[in-house]
Amino acid sequence: MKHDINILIVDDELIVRKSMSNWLKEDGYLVKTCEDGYAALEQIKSNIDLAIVDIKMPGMDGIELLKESKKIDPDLPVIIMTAYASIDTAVQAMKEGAFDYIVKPFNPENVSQVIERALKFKMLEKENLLLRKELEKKYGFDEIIGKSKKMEEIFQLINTVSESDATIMIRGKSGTGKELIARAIHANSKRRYGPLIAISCGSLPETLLESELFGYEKGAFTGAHYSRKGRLEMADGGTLFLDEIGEISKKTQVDLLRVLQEMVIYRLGSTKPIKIDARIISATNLNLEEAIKDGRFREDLYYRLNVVTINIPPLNERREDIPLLANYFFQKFTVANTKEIVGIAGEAMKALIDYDWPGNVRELENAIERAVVVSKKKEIILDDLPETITIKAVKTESEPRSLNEFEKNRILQVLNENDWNISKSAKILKIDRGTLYNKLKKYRIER
Amino acid sequence: MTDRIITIIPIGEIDSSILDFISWSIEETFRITTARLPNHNLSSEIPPPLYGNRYNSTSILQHLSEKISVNALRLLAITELDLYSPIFSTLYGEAQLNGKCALVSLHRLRQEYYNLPPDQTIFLSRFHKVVIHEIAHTFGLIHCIDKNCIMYPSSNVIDIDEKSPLFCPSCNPKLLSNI
Repeated sequence: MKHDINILIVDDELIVRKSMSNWLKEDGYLVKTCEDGYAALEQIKSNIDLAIVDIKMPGMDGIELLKESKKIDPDLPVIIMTAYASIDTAVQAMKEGAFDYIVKPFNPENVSQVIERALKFKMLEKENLLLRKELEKKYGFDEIIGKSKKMEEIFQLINTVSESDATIMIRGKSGTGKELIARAIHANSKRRYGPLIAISCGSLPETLLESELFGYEKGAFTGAHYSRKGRLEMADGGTLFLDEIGEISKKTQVDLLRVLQEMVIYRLGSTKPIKIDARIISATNLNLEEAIKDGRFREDLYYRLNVVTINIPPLNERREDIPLLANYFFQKFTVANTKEIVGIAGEAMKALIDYDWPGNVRELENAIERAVVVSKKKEIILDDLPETITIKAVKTESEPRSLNEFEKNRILQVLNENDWNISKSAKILKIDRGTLYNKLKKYRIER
Repeated sequence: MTDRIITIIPIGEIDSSILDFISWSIEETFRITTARLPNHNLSSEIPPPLYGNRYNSTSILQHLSEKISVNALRLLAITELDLYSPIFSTLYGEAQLNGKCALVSLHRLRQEYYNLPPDQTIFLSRFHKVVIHEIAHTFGLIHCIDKNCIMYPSSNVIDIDEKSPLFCPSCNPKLLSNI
């Protein structure tokens, strides 16, 4: 039904607003009109499904309004109205995220189609988002998969913190998927159409890290033949992910703290302040509290970065997620390698569940990829898995865990060795026939 | 007190047989009497024509609602002029939704406009559909998604020819309750 669809028309010319409004109302839409961009931004804060914006307006023009509207509602489709003379600007609007543009005066058929397409697109996006949220509720975000209580709590936390701009520190052992969590937060935040810039602080020496983070001007140091934006500047309007934050030097810690306090950066070799608007997510596998005690990490920076903490448990603390993850990676790699393997055999899955996974999810992913590549059967079997995993599995199989299991196996072994001669077996087992009979019943042992 | 009359005002010269036809058509459809005003010539207050002699229909409607004072329920203007609006390059007609005035152009309804042999039956059928559609807008009816309904929006004469001259079962009750 069109009756509950709100369309906003923004044009400085009264006659265009009236004419457009009348025509859209005849089509059954609810219409609101604004004569300038500032009033339009206020309207967009309420319930608007589509905005049709004139490109040329005094004060805030259509492109600026488009950019500002995306900060309020990134999913709002915006159609730009333009005259023949300003088609170049309309193309620029498309690059800035406009849904489409229409040239004045319009062909009625064309405008109806553009509006219907924009509304359908918005509806599909909404449906897609709802379905994704449903899936996320069930299994997690993209490659962050799990149904364990600990992971469910993390999914809940991702949903909660994504909406805000709070700095987040993700903590977890190597291979637990810290960057995936950062990506999920970015993808679910209002900054999702902005960039996500990641940098691994531990992999760069101090001077290189500084120039990577803050950028530099031409001639700032030997080899700076041209000016370059830093990662902080590149992340403007989006999210900056600082991996291995515990590894940065004391000097970079001071510089970073200043940026977080003022949200202003200075490129190396420049005194010109550059304002940035980026959300900071950091990650570490170190014990930062200990690093603070030892004087290796600044306490004030720690509190700036650590407004919200997300602790990712190691894989061996959420073994119930292993089959789900293993099957996910299995699907991923069988498709990628075009292999006709139907699944993971029970004994192989048991070995995966029992293994300790010191390399966490990354190790599991690598193990499954290897298994898919080397597999020659219809199923992934124990032999397809890396030896580190199967050694433990074999050992586990030969050594029963419980006393009952041990007893049952021993009785079976003796019976088999003595051709199921009960008297002889009872004698070897040093129990009487009646006791052996009862144990055969108890363990349901039959020839 | 407003009379239950739909007043027809020709803008420029219009063949009287066409006006007779549309009076009959309106009375049959809406069960409301029609009256006719003498020919009206547009004043210089109307913006000059654009896009090869097309006139701004929104300005004409505004001019009519301000300048023509009639004690009628609705005012229907009919013209041979080609029309555009501030947003559309061509129009068959325009109406004030839930308002008083409607305007219909005959310019693009004739077969001759498309270099085809004249056909009075086709022309009058199109004329009826456009007029009834626009007047129904003044009674608050909006576009219908039923392609057969007279309230289906038409972007070209093929659309007009393909739809029925009647209101669909969904629009008809709305019209009856609004008039």
